[in-house]
Amino acid sequence: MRITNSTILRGYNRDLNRILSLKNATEHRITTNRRFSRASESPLAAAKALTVRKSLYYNEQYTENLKTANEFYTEAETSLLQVSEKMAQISETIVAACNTTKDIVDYNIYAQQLETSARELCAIFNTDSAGRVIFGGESNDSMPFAILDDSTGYPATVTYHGIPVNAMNDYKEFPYSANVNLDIGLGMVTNQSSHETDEASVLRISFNGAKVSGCGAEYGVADIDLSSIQKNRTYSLDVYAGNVKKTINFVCNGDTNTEKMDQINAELDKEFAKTKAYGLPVPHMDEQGVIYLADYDNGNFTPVEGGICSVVNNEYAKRTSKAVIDNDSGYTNKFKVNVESLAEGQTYTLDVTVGDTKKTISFVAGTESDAEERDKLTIESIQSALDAAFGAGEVSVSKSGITKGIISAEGKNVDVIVHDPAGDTVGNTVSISSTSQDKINLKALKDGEKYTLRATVNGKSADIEFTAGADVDVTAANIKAALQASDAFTGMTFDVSKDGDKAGTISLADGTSVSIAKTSDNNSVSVSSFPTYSIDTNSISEGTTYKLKVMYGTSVRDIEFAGGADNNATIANINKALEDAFGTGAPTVAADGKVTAGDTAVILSNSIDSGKSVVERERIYSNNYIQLTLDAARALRNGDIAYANGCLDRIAVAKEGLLAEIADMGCNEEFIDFNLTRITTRSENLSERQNDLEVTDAKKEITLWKTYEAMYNACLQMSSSVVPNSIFNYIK
Amino acid sequence: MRPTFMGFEVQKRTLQIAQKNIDITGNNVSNINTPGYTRQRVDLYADYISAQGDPNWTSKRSQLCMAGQGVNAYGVSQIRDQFIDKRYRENVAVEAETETKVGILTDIEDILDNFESDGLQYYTQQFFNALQDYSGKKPDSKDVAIICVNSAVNLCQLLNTYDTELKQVEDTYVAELQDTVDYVNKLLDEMNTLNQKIVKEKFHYPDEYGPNELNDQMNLYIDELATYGNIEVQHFNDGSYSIKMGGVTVLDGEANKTNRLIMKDYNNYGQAILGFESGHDLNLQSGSLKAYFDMINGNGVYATGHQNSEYGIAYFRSAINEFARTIAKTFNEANGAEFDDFRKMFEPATEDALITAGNIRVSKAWQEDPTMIGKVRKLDDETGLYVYGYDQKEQVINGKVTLQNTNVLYLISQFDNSNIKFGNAHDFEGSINEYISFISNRLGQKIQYESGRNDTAINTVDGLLDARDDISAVQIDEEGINMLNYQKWYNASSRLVTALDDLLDKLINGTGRVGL
Repeated sequence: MRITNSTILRGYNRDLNRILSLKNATEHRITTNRRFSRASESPLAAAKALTVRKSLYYNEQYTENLKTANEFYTEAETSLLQVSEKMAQISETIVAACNTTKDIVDYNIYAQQLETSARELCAIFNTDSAGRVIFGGESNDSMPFAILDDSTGYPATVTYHGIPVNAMNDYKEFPYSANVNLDIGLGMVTNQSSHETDEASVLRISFNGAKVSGCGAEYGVADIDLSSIQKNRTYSLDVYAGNVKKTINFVCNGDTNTEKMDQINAELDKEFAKTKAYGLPVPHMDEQGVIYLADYDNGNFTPVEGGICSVVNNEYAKRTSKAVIDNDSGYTNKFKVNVESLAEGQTYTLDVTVGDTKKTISFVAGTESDAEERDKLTIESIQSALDAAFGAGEVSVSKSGITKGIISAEGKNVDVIVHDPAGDTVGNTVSISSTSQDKINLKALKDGEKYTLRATVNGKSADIEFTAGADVDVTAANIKAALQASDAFTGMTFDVSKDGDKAGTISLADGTSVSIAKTSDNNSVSVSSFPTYSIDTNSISEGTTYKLKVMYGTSVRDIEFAGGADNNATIANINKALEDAFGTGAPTVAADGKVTAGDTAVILSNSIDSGKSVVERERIYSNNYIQLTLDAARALRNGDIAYANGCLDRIAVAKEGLLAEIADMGCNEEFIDFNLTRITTRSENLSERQNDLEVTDAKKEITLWKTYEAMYNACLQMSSSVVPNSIFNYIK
Repeated sequence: MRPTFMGFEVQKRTLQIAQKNIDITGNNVSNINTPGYTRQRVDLYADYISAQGDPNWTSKRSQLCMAGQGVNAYGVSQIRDQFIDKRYRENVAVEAETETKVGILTDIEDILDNFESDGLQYYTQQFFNALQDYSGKKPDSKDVAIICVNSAVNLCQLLNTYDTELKQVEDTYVAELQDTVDYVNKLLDEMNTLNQKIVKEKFHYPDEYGPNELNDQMNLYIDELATYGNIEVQHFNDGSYSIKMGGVTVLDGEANKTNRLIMKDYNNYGQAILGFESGHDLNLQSGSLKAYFDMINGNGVYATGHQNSEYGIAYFRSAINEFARTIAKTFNEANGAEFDDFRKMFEPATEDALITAGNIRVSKAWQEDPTMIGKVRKLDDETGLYVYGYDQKEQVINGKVTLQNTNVLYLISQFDNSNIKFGNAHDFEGSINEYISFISNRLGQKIQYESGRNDTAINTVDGLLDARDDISAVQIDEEGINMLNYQKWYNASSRLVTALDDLLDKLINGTGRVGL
């Protein structure tokens, strides 16, 4: 090979340049602290680095998201603990209010405390975490919970997103009730067609207030004041019925309540047609303006037990009038006459206050063997009494349905109590005493059947068996024989009465009574107690009017009589009154004061105390503990301790939602911690990997750089002799 | 019979030829650093007188009497190896091609960088982060929502910048290509002129000897031309050169004309279209012209017309356009734009235009209503279409935004959707991040590949230059030795003249005189 100067110089130049560029590249890697500046310098490492970077970015974001979730859960926990404390305080208040007798002033103070507590609970539930409302579900409305006052100005109704908490018992049916989720790097799975996120792949960051505080009630109806609905006005009502919400809009075109009811029912039918088609319960209005949840079957609406119906004016409908609505779920002021429990033919007296007018009315419970008909007669009797007292059509009593027996006046408060006879001339006390003897219903025993009974006399008991005969005489003889044959009763002579008021009783020949009872045997006779009431005629004063309640067989009558000049006269008066009340075969009073009616028992009672249960307040309990607190407060204001006490038990039940959330929250917080740790570890690993891929290996690069520098300097030193001496240097 | 003064003639010629040799040695030494200079040699031969022209006055053994005619020279030749030239020119074309390609691709990579500066990955990630924050913090808050809008605006602006910068790169290289074409044409003109000169000079030269210096010049031109495209060289007897570039004659030595390159106005076609005056298309295998052409017209799977499937500026512009278009399509669809035009998150700057990296922007609808993406979708039973912004409480579509983030989560899920199709079906199917990685990787690998080719070509070219020097370059020691040699030669020849003179002196002045 001929080495020429140009070869040498080109080579030198090229090599020098190569070392310089290597040196420069090393310098660049050292000064930038990067293994490569461009993907092309190391495509494989760059591709890996991009993936690692992406994962790092993601992890950074997930850490951020987890921190957000952590804050949210911490705030939520604080709130729920406050709620828990507040609940304990509320329970204490109710216990304190109920445990001792207090006057209405004290109750009002307790009620006020409870109302304040309920407001505080609402405030806790309305708190937010960094501008995010915690218990509003999907909604960030600053006040998911609100308390509405009733017409008296007292806080009455708890609403969640504008809907009474009692309106629906499925929390998912309240608006904004779906979960809000956060991607925390669990590999979020989203359905690309439905857009739905798999909840197992994300973390929930919302609480459904209706779920945490409870919702729904035992049952509920919505009472619309039909008189508040005026002709030609537009109304828009949100109807919540069995977890279905529909809005009805209508222009009132009726004059009478019945016309209005028919129109509203038509609207309800239209809106709930689908619900009806599915065979689900639908809302229906009765003539009192009460909308209740009913099963529909072939034109008949049967109230659903435990069904909830709630109605509110639609707050978004413009230019509509507002109907007056009272949602009766929770503590209500409705009074109901327990028509079904009234004694036939009994006269009842009630004090009815409608608005400011107080009247006392009396009515007689219907007498009819068919219960439905009897109730109908009773209600007609109440209605006519009310019409007489307040004017026709002013005050009405519900005829049927879930509200049967409720006395109401559209647009007015109605207060009903049983007339207190104290101080009245009626109801002077008669001294009544009673003895009772066990007896067998001999007539009911079947011919030829074997029966057992247990007899006890003078401390000795024995089970005997006898066969019933064709008539009472044979049966009585059989029992007598069986008793005398018993070893326990050796030497005793029994007497079994066959007729009269003592028919079916057993005694010894000397008159000692024998008590009889059922045996454990299946064929045992049924034993009933046969009471005998006596009136102490000596206690009756002449000229005074007495009132007695007499139960003869299944008939109950009030009788009135005046005390006579002597016992005989008094007895005659009583007998007269009994005959007036019961007609032929009426019970009679004997000279000793005993009231008997052959073999039929006659029961006397003195007062009409049993009438206390005639009227009762409607009692409905909410499933929401804030609402229960308010209801308890209202009950206390009305002196209804029993209701307040009932609230206490139910608050404990309603708290279950809260406890479940607290437990769930604990799990989630642990999960957040776990993921934070996991992601931190992963980030560390990724950073390490990123360093490996992207960050300069300083030791290696510096060594390289030193090498290149030395090489470059060496090359430069060579420069003076790169062009070698030639032959010309030596030619002489 | 030997002519009396024959020796003088022989030595006279020897002296002249020795002197010429020293001249040429001097010329070689003088031109040792002249670019393109090929070392020269005086081609010597031993002279003789032909027996065929034997004059009658000579004896039959006349060959003997006329023997010893000494040295003569045919001419001054150049020492070149045309095979090395051919290989050199082939490889220098590859070197130039790959170098140009690497230069252009590096410019693209500087723009699409993800490592030293915040690139597509960073801004896409920022968009992701903003959506995540929005989903987890307050989807109903305009303040947080506006961060999403801004991050999307930044992403759009980055794409706009990419488009502008890639267009600048394209413009730069289109201009460079035009300049190169002009330069090649100028080169061809000069070569044509040189051809004429050579032919004229050659007329005065015998046989294969030619005007060495003009040939050197021509070879320099050819070497230079070789960097622009693959060429074939033909050297004619009249001294002229013909050259084909990419199979088409660009310099016709016989007809003495050029076939100039023509580049059509780029702005009219949006593609580089190169051809010749003769109407032929330019079709190169290598050279920097090919590099420009490929890099300007290389549009991968998106190639149309004169474009090719190289990954050049056009391809990376297409790739970025596809990214913009796909991002817009993916998020618009995910956000329900197919049901409602106002659900678009991205739109072109001018209505109804196809979305490109240059015109993509955040939709007016989104900018005006940042929480638009937070509205939750609901199927409208009546129309069977999806509607957004349904309020559960009021049961109307009022556009209210709640904390419910299902729509945002769905948008976020698009980042990990690995079934997104970018470009036409042949290009890429995967996730957004994978596509970013894919582009970065394709570019990086392309550069690495061309750099590798360039390194190889440089090494080959260096080797060939060395081989060419081995043959053609001046070696100074060699020339020194030659100089000493020729000097001694000359001295010897001079001494011979003295000897001849002495001989004649003896013959003339000493012959016949005895005892003087």
